[in-house]
Amino acid sequence: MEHLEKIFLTLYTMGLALPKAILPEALYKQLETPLGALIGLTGILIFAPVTMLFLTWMERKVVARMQRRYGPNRVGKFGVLQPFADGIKMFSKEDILPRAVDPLLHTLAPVLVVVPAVLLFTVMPFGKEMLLINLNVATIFIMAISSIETIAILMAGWSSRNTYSLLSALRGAAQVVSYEIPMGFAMVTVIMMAGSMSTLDIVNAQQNHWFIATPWGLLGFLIFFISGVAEVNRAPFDVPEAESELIAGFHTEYSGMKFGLFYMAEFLGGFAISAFAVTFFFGGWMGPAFLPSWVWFMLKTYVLVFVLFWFRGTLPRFRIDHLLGFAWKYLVPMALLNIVVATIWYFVPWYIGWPVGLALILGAHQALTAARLKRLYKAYDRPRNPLQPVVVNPS
Amino acid sequence: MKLYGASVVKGLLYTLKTFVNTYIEDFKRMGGKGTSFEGSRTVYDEKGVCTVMYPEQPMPVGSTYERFRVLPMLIYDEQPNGEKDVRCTSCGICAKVCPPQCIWIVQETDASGKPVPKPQDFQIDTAVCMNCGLCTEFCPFDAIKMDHKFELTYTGDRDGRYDSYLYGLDKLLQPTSYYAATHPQANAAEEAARLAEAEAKKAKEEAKKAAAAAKAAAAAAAPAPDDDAPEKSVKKPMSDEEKAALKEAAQKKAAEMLAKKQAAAAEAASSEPSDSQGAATDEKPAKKVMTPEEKAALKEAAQKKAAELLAQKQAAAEASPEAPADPAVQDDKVEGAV
Repeated sequence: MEHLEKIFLTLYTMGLALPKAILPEALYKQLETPLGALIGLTGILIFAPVTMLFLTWMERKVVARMQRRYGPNRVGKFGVLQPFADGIKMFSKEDILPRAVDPLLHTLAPVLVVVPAVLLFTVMPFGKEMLLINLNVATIFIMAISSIETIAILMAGWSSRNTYSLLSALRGAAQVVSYEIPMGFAMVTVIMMAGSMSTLDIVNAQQNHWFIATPWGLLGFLIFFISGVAEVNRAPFDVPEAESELIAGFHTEYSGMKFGLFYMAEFLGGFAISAFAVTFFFGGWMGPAFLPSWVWFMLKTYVLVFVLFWFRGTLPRFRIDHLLGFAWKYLVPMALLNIVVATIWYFVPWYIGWPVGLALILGAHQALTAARLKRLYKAYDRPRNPLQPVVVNPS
Repeated sequence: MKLYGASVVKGLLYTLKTFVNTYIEDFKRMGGKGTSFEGSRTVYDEKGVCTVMYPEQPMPVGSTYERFRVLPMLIYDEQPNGEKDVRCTSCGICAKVCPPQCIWIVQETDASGKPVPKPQDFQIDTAVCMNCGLCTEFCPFDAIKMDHKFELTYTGDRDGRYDSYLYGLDKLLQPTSYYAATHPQANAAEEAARLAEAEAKKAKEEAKKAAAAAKAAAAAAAPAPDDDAPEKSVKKPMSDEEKAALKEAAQKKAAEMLAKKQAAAAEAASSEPSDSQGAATDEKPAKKVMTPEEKAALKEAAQKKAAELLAQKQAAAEASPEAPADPAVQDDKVEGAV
């Protein structure tokens, strides 16, 4: 167990042993940090595509089962080699650059969309002592980096010179801008209670109880996860690539591996959102000691990833105005309320905090939803013109 | 007051239930048949995965949809010595009734040029055949039957295509075992009818023999008292026990034959009792004056009546287990499928 726990740390030190042996003492001291980062990044760059390959297969299988199908089952046992077949197909496809596109932006966009998705992994605490960079502003880093994806999507949509792509890009931008706010507020409660922005400290703060076991944690998780799903453009918030409306959205004009990179970014984003939800609310790598910490982290993350796919297999897509309305008129007020609940929780014992918190949350939920539904029904229930009798002019 | 958003959870739980159920059903299918984990669907069920793994594990047409029909086939009986006893007698009825006229038959001739009731060549243009099944309806020998093979695409070269669609004896002939496998119910019914026919033939012959023997015996024996009941008179003049045994055997055969017939035609069974009763009442006045010859004839009539009564009983006995027979078959199927 000890070996399994330390296996990645051992690999890391082994990777550093070679330059230590070769380089002179002074130079090695100077280069130790960048070299270590390089090794860690290499690990992440290996881990990320493999995760993406597995996730594509898993999504297809999960959604298929929910629709009473088998999903891919031709390539390998249970179709496990399907992602490799897809990869081969994508690499062997022609890389088309349409004549009307802006070649620089068009080529840059898929790269820019993947880089932030991979960068998010650097502040992800995979296990005990398995955090590549212990950043003291990690949560801000997460928010900032994941927003870059929006710029990439805008670039892709704009440079494609395609109305569908542009529409999709604008939708994506509006969506991400809207959902960043409740997501940030949900993070604020976590930062408040953990007293730190570092992911490592946040996990350590959950030593005694996970944040999900509190009323503000429960609501915070729901808001964070829903906003996260929206931010990585996954169902039911996938309006930017709504295939029934916009063909394929911002990646309509992409083919081959460029398209594959967009796909990769989406899956890595979904994985990152699940992983950070685990970090913030489910105690990160914490868990009984019979399994290594990184196994616990992966297990929890994959449960949430399953929930992502579960959403996709169940919920129909939002309309764009409902989507934005949901963010501004429901999630933002609820997230603000959540900060109040967290504050109350901080000052009162748990047997008061729970009922008060739950009452506040449920009351606000019911009131907000009822008000919103009333307005919605009112809009649909407008008076219709009754048939007017035709008055014939006697003259 | 209702909780908003509860229906979203309800919907999520529904898909989760479906997700879990497919695995449970897969597990059951695997346990039942020993197939791979992503097992095949063999019957329609509401819970599991509804995918049919078509090219590898197609849905069995035979047991589920027996009357499904694609293209005719010719049935032959497998002889113990390995010879093929083709049922077809090349009578040509199928060719005559075939609406698109896609059947050609060449009758076989022996060495001297005399026609033999066998097909020398039997060809069906499957590109023309419209799968109506009239040939099978009209065939008096159960020789031509509709097949279940629906994968008819020919993938060879273009020139050979038309030849490949013209089915000769080599492609049409199928053993009875194949037919029994694809059409279990129809085959069972036909087999029963055929057996009954054979039995009836045999019984008829034996009854004839027995009647002749009885006649001789009656002539040899002393004249029996006139007022004897016909049932008793059956036994009394039978001094020879061998002959009695013979007669009883004949009776039984006749009874069996009749039973089979009655089982085959259920309506006949209902009219039968009234007939026999009428015959019985008619007979009484004729009892008074009798020559030995007449007596023998009467005996035979009585025998037959007894046989008929027996037959009715048997028919009734046979009819009752027949009714639950079908559900039992279905039950088996369901169990096998699960």
